[in-house]
Amino acid sequence: MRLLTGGLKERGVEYIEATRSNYRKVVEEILADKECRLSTCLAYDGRGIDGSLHVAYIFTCHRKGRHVVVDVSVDPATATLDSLYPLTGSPACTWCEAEARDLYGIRFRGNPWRGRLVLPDGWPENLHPMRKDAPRGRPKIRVEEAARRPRPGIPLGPYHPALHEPEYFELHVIGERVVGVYYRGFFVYRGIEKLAEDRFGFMQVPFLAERICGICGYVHSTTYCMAVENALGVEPPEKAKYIRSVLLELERIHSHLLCTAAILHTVGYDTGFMHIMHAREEVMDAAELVTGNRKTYSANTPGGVRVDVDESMARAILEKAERAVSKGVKLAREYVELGEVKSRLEEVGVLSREDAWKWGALGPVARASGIDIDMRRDKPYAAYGEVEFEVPVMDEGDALARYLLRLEEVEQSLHILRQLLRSMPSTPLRSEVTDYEPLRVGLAASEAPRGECLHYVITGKGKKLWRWKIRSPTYNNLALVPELLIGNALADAPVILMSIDPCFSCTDRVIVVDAEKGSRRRVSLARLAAP
Amino acid sequence: MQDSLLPRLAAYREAAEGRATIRQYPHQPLPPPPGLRGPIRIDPGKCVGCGACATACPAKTLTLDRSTYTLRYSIARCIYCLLCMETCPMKAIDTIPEYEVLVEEPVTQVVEHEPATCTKCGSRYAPKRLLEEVERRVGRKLPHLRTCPACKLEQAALISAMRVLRSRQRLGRSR
Repeated sequence: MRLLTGGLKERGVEYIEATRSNYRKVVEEILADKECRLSTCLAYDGRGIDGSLHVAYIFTCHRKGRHVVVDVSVDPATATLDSLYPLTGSPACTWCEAEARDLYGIRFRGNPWRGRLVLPDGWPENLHPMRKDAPRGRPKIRVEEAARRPRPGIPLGPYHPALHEPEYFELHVIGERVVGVYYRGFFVYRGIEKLAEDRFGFMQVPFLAERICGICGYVHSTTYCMAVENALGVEPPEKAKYIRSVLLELERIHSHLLCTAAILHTVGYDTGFMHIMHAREEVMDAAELVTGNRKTYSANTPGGVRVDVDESMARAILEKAERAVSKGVKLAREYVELGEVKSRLEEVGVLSREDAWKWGALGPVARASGIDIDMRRDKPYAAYGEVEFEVPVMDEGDALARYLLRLEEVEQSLHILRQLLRSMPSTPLRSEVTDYEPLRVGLAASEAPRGECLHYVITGKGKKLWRWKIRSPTYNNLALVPELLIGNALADAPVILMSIDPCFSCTDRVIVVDAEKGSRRRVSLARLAAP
Repeated sequence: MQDSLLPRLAAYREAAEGRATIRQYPHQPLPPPPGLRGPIRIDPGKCVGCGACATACPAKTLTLDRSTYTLRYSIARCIYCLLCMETCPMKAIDTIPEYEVLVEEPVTQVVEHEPATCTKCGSRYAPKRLLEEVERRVGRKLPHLRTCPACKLEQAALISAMRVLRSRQRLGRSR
C-alpha cells in the first residue's frame, strides 16, 4: 500500500519518494536552488503501511511559493540514516533529526546533537513513544541518573523571566561575555501529536491544534484545517477564507503588541508594558465579539468556519482594531525612543543576513535581517490572494529592528483588515467534507506571527490521523538562539531571547500552564522528572 | 534623561485615556460579553438520550452511559467549543453566559433517561424517549422498534431462513 499524494502538486507541493541510496543526491539538487532551504523534517511509522519507517524532509522555496517533500524509507531493522546536517548546516535540522531519534528511534549519522532533545534524561533507552507499537502506560524514569549531571554555568530558566514557560538555557561566560550556551527544552513535552493520532477524530483535532499555543492558536487550527483540506481535496467557501484571514490578522496584531510589550518588560520598563497591553485589549474585545472568546476561538473546522461576521460586526471589528493599532503602535514607537530603552535594544543580538538564512530564521526574525520572505505573499492561502499589502523588511538585524519591524507589520495587518472587512463576500460558511479516504497526504503552510508554520498530515483508518506533524516557527527560531547569544553581554541575554518572540509552548507542543507567575527559582531536574 | 521627560509624560497622559480596566471585582461584577461561549446546559425535557453530543465532544466531558442511559456533563473538562450544541438533533443544548465556572464536583449536570426494555429478552437497548422520537418523526407506530438489536437480528435470521426453506419447498414441489 502506498500513500496517496495526488492533488498535492496543484497546491504547490512537490512530493519525491527517495531511497537511502539516492536521497542525498535529490536533496543536493533541491538545495542547488538558492531560494530553497530545509524547513523541517519528520519521521513516521509506516510499518503498518509498507513495512518500513520513514523520514520526510520538507524544503521551502520561499519566493517561489513551493514546498518539496523528500520521503526516505528507512529499514526498521537497522533504523539508521545519514544526517542532512553537513549539507544544510542549520540548527533546525539537528533538532528535527534529534526529535525523530527520540520519538522513533531512527539514528542519524553525522548529526552533532548529543543527548536527548524531546524526551527527558533518564527515559528508558529503547522506548520510542511515537512508534505505533509503543507500550501504553507510564515508563520508569531513572530520576537519580537524570539529576546527576553537574554543569557549571549561569542558569536562565527553567521559569523564563519573560514568559513563565519552562525552558532552560545555561550560559557559560568569560567576564560579561557569553561564550557558550547549553540548551535543554521540551520539559513539558506532552505528545499532542500522539494524542491526536490515538484519540481524536480528524474533525475534532482543530480544537486540540488551537491549544498548541496560547498566543497564536488560531494559526495552528487554520493550518491544520488547510492541511486536511489539501489532503482530501476540499475547498472552503470564499467567505470562510475571508473570516479566517480576518481572525488571523487580529491574532497577528495582538501577538505583535504582546511581543513589543514583553520586550519593554524585559528591559525593565513596565509602564510601557502596561500601556501597550491596555491598547491591545481592544483587539481581544474584537476577537471576543466574533468568536465568543478572547482567545481559543474554536472557529475552525475542516472545510470552513463556524462563526459568521455580519456588517455591523465588521464595522465594530475595524473600529476596535483601528483604536488598538493607532494607540499601541504610537506608544510603542515613542517608548522605544527613550534613551534607557533604546540603548538596551540597539545593536544588541545582531543577526546577519547570511547567518539568518543558513540557520533557518523565519518570520520577523528573518525579515529584520533583510530576508524578504512571507508566506502570505509567497504562497497565498485563505484570502491573502485578494488583498494588497507590503512586507516590511529591515537590514539592521538587531533587537531594535525586530521590535520596529513588528510595529510596521501591525500597521500592515490593519491595512489588510480594512480591505477584507469592506469586501466580505456572501457565501455559505462551510463545505462538507464527504469523502474521507485513508493514507492521503496533506501539507499546509501559513505565516504565523512568528514565521512560517507547517502542518503535515497523513490520514488514517477510522477517521483518525496516521501522522500529524506540527512545525511551529519558534522551532527554527529558538534553535538559532544559542548561536545568537554567543558573543553578547550576559545582561542582554533575556532581551535577545525575547526579541525573537519565542513561543515555547508551540515548540514543545503543549498547553500553556501559567504556573507560579514571576517566580525565578530554579527547579531541580529531579523534581521536573518525578512522575 | 531630562530631554525625554516631557514626551514621556505626554505619552502617559494619552495612554491613560480610554476605558478603565480596573474595577472592584467581585464586588462590582463584570457583565459577560454578548455571544460568550460559556458552559452548556442540557434541557432534560428536550433531550432524548441519543448520545450524538457525547460522540462529538472532543474533550469527552459529555458522556452517555450506555447501560443506564445517563448523560453526564462536567464543566471541569469542558473546552466550550459548543460542538455538542451544533450536533444535537433536538436542540436541547444551550450555552449559558457565565464565566465564573470553577466547580468542585466532578459532574455538573446529569440527565437520566428511562431505558426501553426488549419485549423478547427484556434487555435494555435504547432510551425510551429516543424510540418515541423516531416514531414521532416517522409519523406512525413502529412495532419492530420494541425489540433489541440482538433479538431483531435473530428474528431477521429466522425470517430469512424460513424464506429459504419455503422457496426450496416450492422448488421441490414444482420439480
